[in-house]
Parts: sequence; C-alpha cells; structure tokens
Amino acid sequence: MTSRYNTSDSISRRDFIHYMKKLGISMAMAPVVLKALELLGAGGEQGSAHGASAGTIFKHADFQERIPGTSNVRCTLCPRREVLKPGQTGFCRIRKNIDGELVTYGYDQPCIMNVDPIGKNPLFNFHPEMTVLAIAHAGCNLRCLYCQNWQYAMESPLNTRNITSFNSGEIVSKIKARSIGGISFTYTEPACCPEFVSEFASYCGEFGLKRTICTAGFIEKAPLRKLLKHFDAVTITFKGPDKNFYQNVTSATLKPVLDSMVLTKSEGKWLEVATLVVPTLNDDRKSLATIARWIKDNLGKNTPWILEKFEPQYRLKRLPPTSQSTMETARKIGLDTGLEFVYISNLAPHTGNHTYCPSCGKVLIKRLGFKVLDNSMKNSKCCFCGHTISGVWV
Amino acid sequence: MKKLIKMKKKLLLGTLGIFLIFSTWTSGELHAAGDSDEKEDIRESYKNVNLLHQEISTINLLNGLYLTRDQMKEILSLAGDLRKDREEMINSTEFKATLKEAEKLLGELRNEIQKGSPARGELPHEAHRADHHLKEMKKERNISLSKKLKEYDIKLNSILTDEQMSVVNSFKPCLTPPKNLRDPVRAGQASDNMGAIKRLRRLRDLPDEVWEKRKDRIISRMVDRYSKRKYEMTGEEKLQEKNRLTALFEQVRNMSETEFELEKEALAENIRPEDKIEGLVKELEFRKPGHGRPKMTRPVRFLLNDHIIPILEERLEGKQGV
Repeated sequence: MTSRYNTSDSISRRDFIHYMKKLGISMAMAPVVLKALELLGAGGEQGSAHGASAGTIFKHADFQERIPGTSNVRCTLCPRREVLKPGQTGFCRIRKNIDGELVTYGYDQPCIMNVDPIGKNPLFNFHPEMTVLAIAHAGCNLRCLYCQNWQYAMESPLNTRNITSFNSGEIVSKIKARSIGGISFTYTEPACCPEFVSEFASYCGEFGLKRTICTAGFIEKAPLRKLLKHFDAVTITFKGPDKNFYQNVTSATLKPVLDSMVLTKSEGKWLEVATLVVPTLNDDRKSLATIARWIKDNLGKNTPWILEKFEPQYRLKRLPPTSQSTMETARKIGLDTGLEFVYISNLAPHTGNHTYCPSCGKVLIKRLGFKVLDNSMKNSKCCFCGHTISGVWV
Repeated sequence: MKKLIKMKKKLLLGTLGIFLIFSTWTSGELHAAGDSDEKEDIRESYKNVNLLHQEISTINLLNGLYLTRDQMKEILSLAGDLRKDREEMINSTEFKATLKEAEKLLGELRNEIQKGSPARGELPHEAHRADHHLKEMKKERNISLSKKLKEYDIKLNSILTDEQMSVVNSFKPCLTPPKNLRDPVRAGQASDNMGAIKRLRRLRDLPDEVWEKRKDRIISRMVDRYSKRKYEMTGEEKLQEKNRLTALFEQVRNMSETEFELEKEALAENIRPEDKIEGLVKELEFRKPGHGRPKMTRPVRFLLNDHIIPILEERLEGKQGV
C-alpha cells in the first residue's frame, strides 16, 4: 500500500522509522562517548596539567585528610567535610581530588578585581573613607537562592574569565601608587580559597595595607583561625534566624556560622554583621528581632549590623525588592533591641546610611550610598559629646 | 385625477431631491467632523505620550529618593502652592487685559496688511506698543516668578536631606533607569560603565594582526554612531575623535591585566567624547539666563511641577507602595 504523500523524493514510513532508530541510538550513546573521550583526555593530561585546562593555575590545598587505604580525600575546610573520590570536585567547585591529592583552583586567578569604597565590603565602622581593591575568586560553598553575585559564586574558577597574570608585587605597588587603602576579599566566598587569601593578605600586610574580608562564616574553626590572623576587619553575613532558613535557602547550617562570629570576636578582630533582608523569607519582625538579639547577646551592642536591601536575583527573581518601609522597620527593630549601630545598605539616599553617635544621637558620618559626604568624628570620638565611638577609625 | 397624480409625483420627487441634498450635505459634514475628531484624537495621544514621559521620569526620580511620608506631604503642599501662585500670575486681570488688547490690535494689523498694502495711520504703532507692553509684562512676570521659584527652592531644600538634594541635582530624566547593582544610588540615567568595560575587554582580546586590520573600521563606526546619536560632528571633530580613541585603545591593549582592572572604570569613562551639547547649554544659560523663561532650579523643575501632584496624592493614599 502506498501513501498518497509518498513521492519519489520522500521516504517511506519504514525508512523513516529506521532512520529514527539510528538517530535514537546515536543520541543515547553520545554522553557515553563524550564521557569516554573526557576520561581519555583527563588521563592524558594528569601527568602534566593535572586535568586542568590550559593556563589554569592550581595548588595543593590546605585542610585535607587522606582516607586510609583509598585515594579518597576528606576536605576539612568547611563543615560539609566532604569525602571526594579521585576526579571529584567539591561542593564549592573550587577544590578537587586529583589522584588522591586535594588541589585548589582558587589560587592566583581571581575573576573580580574592582576598586570599591569600603562600604561595599560592607564595613561601616572601619576607615569609612577608604577605598579598597576588592578581589574575588569564582565558587562558593553555599547555594543561597538569592545570591547577588551568582554569575561568579555559582561557577567554578575553570569556567570564569580570570586574571591569569596575577602578580602580588605589581598589585601592591599599583595600589599604593593610587592611594588605595587596602584590599578586600568579598563578592563570593573567600573562605573557600584560604591558601590564596591568607598568602596575599599576609603579603599586603607587610606593606601596611588594610585587609578586610566578607564571608558567610560557614567554615571550620581551624581554617578560620588561620585566616583571621591576616585580617584587620571581618564582615560575616548572618543570613537568617534559624536552621530551617539556612537549610532551605542557603544549603548550609546555622551553628558553624554562629561559632565563626563568636570566634572572630574572641580573636579580637573588628567584626560587622550583615543581613540581606529578603521579603517573605526573613523580613518578619520575629526573624529580625531574633538576629538582632543574638548579635547583642553574643557579640555586643557595639557590633554594627548592616541591613542590606534585596534585589531580585538568581533563583528568587519572582520576589519583589525589599521595600523602604521594611528596611526602616528592620532598622528600628535593631535599634530597639539595643544595638548601637544599625545601617541600611543598598538603599540610598537614606538616613539609615549614616553613622550616629549612640550617646547624643547626632550624625557623625554622612553618607550617600557608599560615598562619605561628611565625617565629623574627632580621634574616634563624637565631636559633639566626646563619646568614644566603637570601630577602627584611624 | 391625472393632475393629482402628477402633483403627488412632483411632491415625491421634490421630497426625494431634498432628502438627497440633505443627506449628501450631512454626510460631508459628518466626514469632516470625523476628520477633525481623528486629528483631535492624535493630538490628544501626543499630549498623553509627552505627559507619560514626564510622569515616568518623575516616578523614577521619586523611587530613587526614598521620601518619607512627611516629606511627600510637604512637597505636595509646596507643589500646590506653586501652582496656585503661577495661576494667579497668569490670570491677573491686568495681564489678561494687556493680552486681549495685543490680540485685538495684532489681529487688526494682520487683516490690514493681508489686503496687500502696508497699514497706515495709528494702527501699526498701537499694535507695536501693545505687543511691547505684553513682552514687558511677561518679562516682569518672569522676574517675579523667578524670585518666587527661588523661595520655593529654599523651602524644598529644607524638606529634602543633603543626599536627596544631591540625587536630584545629578538626576537625568529617563524612562528606564539602568540597573547597576554596584551603585545603590540610581535614580535617573546614572552612569553605568559595564557595557564600555565589556567593549574594552573585547578589544584587549583581539590578536594583534586582527586589531591592526580592523582598528580603523571599529573606531570609525564608534565615532559615526556617536555623531548620529548625540550630536552631529564636523569632519575635523571626527578626525580628532578618531585619533583620541586610537591612542586610548592602544593604551588599553598595552596595559597589564592588573593595570587594566584597576583603571577600567576611568578608561570606560574616557570612551565617551566630550559632550559639547552640555557645554553649549551651559553657555546659553550663562549668556541668556532662562532663555526668556523664569529661572528654575533642578529640584523645583523636577519636584514641584504639575504632574507630581497626582503622583504624590496616589502614593499618600497608599495606592502605590513606597
């Protein structure tokens, strides 16, 4: 039986089914073939480049434990304490097990280098007029659904455009020549690259540059202690009030973050806490009051709390930006709890951007966004009432 | 009987004729009315588009100012007062009388000279005098309005914070403000260098032989685009611009990665040629302040205009979130 559509140019139903079968088989086989090719390629490179793409820098990673009798390695950098098989990359996309050795790609190849005001770190009570060189490597050990830098944080350093000719000496001399006050590791999760971060921060310290870091604090105590040695000021993001929030929104746990904040304070480092106020997730009075109370009780009332306005990003694009009134309510909750410095960030111009004297209530540092317009502090003291203002000012 | 039938026929034909004439006339009238309706409609739409432009721009500014409810109330009351003051000046009986007289005399003069010969007698002098008087009144009105506007500017200064004033003073009206997450202060056309930095990165990535081959075309295209979009450049200006950009891009290509990353913002700013129009506007403002119109500061222009009143009323009623 011939079809009325069957012309000399067209194919028969039988042929069509035959071709589709072939196509189906080849499509099903494609991933297997590609994987085989990848393995062959990786095997070939292991002797020289250890599986890294050309030009990629990697280094032996600190904080690792070999699992006895296997080629598996446990990463002891963050509380995940992942066990990685050979060829496997960690959750952070930065650390990888190559032949039983954990290496890091987060070394000497940052993907971001910007000259920023220190307020962007964010740090408000630490050399407020200083500009810093902000540096970041790709990768992060959290999966915050609202990540504001997801283009870099949710990528491996192998997939981003990196600065491959990173030269510490050149950078320090250029920073100094431009009167940039220091360096800041921010944007992504610097704690995932402790090797690079400590080394470069330590080098910068030798030249009198200020060193600051912004981290989620989801890191083990030993690496954090080692990191803190090289920094003058730290910002830790306190993302949500309870473990459910951390689990559902950030894919991390709360306890290590709280421990990190307490440890940073006890090590005598200047600490500021930042919270991104996300509508419907952590913007209710109870959540904000819980965070504020915890900061006051465990870190002290003089610890600045920076409330950041959320802009719909990454996987939470359906949410609206945080409203001005919510930010103002959040600030009021912080102040009512007894915190002395509660700032509103990412929303300007606003009176919540300024630094006020906790004693007389007068404005000491006027800001427009991150820009300092006027600073009336005198030697760490309020110029109106003489009250000593907590922070690092000179 | 036949006569009666004839008469009836005539009557019928006459009625039909009258009906035809009437219907043709009315259809023409209707057509003309339809035409004018359409014109009116288009004019109305143009007016609405302009108004919407201004309203959107004002809303963008308000969204970037984060005004408190008290500030909104005060600005609303100030805008209302200014509108009243303006209307009072425009509707003053003296001004109205002068305007009417000038209208009447200039109309007579127009009709007179339309006849083909120059106007004679007192009419040209009277028309000229009335016109001059009107201009003088306008000038006086503008001077007193300028004084009033200055007072309003001072009042507005006391309502807004210094930072809000700074945002208003640097505001550039726009329909969609660029979303630059690196800078939280973004009310209007805030300068955003992301695109320019990307272009510079692409230029740095070009291999030497490709750059040498294509640089003239790349730079010419950039200069032509700027000349088309911003202001017409003379041949000499274009040449100067091309030389400047060639030097800039050579410098960018020869920089080390670190140097480029540290300098990228400043370099991106430098891609844009000098805005001569801005310079000319400033010069005009200096040489002929107000261009014959009352002098108005930026805060007054953007925040005390007529269309801010319904916008603020809507916000205060809670129809729109703040």
